[in-house]
Amino acid sequence: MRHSNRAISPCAGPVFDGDTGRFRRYTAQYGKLLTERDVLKLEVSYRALVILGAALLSIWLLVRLWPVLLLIFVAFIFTAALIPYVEWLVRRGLPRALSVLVVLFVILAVIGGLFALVVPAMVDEFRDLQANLPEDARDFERFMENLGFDTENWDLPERAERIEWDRIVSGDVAVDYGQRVVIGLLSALTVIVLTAYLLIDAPKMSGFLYRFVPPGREPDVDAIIQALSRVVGGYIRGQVITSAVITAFTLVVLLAAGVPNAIAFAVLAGFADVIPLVGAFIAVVPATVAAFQESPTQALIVLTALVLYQQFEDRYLVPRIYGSTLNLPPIVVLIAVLAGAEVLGVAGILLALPATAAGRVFLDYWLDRRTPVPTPPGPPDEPLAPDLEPEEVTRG
Amino acid sequence: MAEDIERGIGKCAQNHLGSYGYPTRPAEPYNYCPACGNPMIWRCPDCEAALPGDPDELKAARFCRDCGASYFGEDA
Repeated sequence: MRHSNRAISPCAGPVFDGDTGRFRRYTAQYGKLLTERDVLKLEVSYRALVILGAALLSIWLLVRLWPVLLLIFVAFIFTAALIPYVEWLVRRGLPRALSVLVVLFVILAVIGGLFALVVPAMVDEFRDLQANLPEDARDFERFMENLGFDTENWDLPERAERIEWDRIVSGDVAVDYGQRVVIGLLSALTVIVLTAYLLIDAPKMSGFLYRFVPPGREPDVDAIIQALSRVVGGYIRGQVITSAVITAFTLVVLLAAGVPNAIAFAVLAGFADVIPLVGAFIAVVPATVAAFQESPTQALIVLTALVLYQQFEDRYLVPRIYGSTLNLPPIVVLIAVLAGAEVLGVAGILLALPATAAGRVFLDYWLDRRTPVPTPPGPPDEPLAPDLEPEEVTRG
Repeated sequence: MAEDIERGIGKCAQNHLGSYGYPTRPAEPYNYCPACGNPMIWRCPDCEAALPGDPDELKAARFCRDCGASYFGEDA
């Protein structure tokens, strides 16, 4: 028997169409027949709705709380770097809270001392630069002319005289920078307090973390925590070493070249070394400019020495100090730094490497879990095939 | 300090993992699996060698890597 299309009621369910051999559904809205292929069924369980709602809420919270989460993340990185020193003091009998205070005090004293050294010297240097720029520009033109460049239309001294310093360093710009400095200081204070709490409560926190772990899986958590501490802490400690070395080297070069404020520029190079990629530029340029105020030849010596050092640090020092701690390919470093700069600015540049290295720890763990563990071999003295005599077992 | 407490993981014949010494877990190794009631092992029953420390390796292990004895008396 064949079904007629007209005989299908608008309210009827799917009916078999003998012409096509398919089930068809009548739609009241358009008064036409649809095949089963045309009908899209969307069945959503309550559980899926709850998960979707929770995911949307999490994203909303993440966006709203992003500045706070960022500070917590930075505090976790510092905690990973400092916890070995706190544990070292605790093992020697110092109370945990006191150990944390001692470690933070030493670090803040060193950083504060370096800032106290750098900032006044940089202000002096800036004033010197402002006063001497037209004369320096004239020297530079002469120097380039001696090298064979046509500097007739450069007009560098005139351009230097036309710079309106008041507009650069005062008014809205100064207020804007002042606000940024205040916000930066408050953020730094928050990170210090958070780091102190994390260092003090680290044992309790690890206990809290184990609550979410199924029985027998605790060694996985231990392994991840150890790897994170090794990678992130190792990065920070390695960075301290490379910063100290570049500071010492820059100091020696600038003192040898007779550049004023050598200590300040050396410390600035040490701070700049923390910033991947652009840090090298920041370490080299101000010192070279300062040397240029003495003479172009001194500038050339300083520039050459510092650029050579950057090559030495990148190709020799960093691989040996970090070893396999970070183990990130250069392209990954570049992408991480660019992404960090885009998302978080300077903070993103500074956090890019430890964050990527931490991400690699989780990726390695996930990949390890995907790889099946080989079943250990049986007892050593057992024959390969117990049913056969040993002489009957042949190898192809 | 928490780091000085002895910790370990073990399993039963049904491959249910267990642990002791960690926060929120029993302080000592326990005798029977809370999931299936089978006896738990925390060391090789034959030579007392430690079980694999990695949970995935422990799940896959059926024989002691030191003496070759079966953990649960099964054949190879």
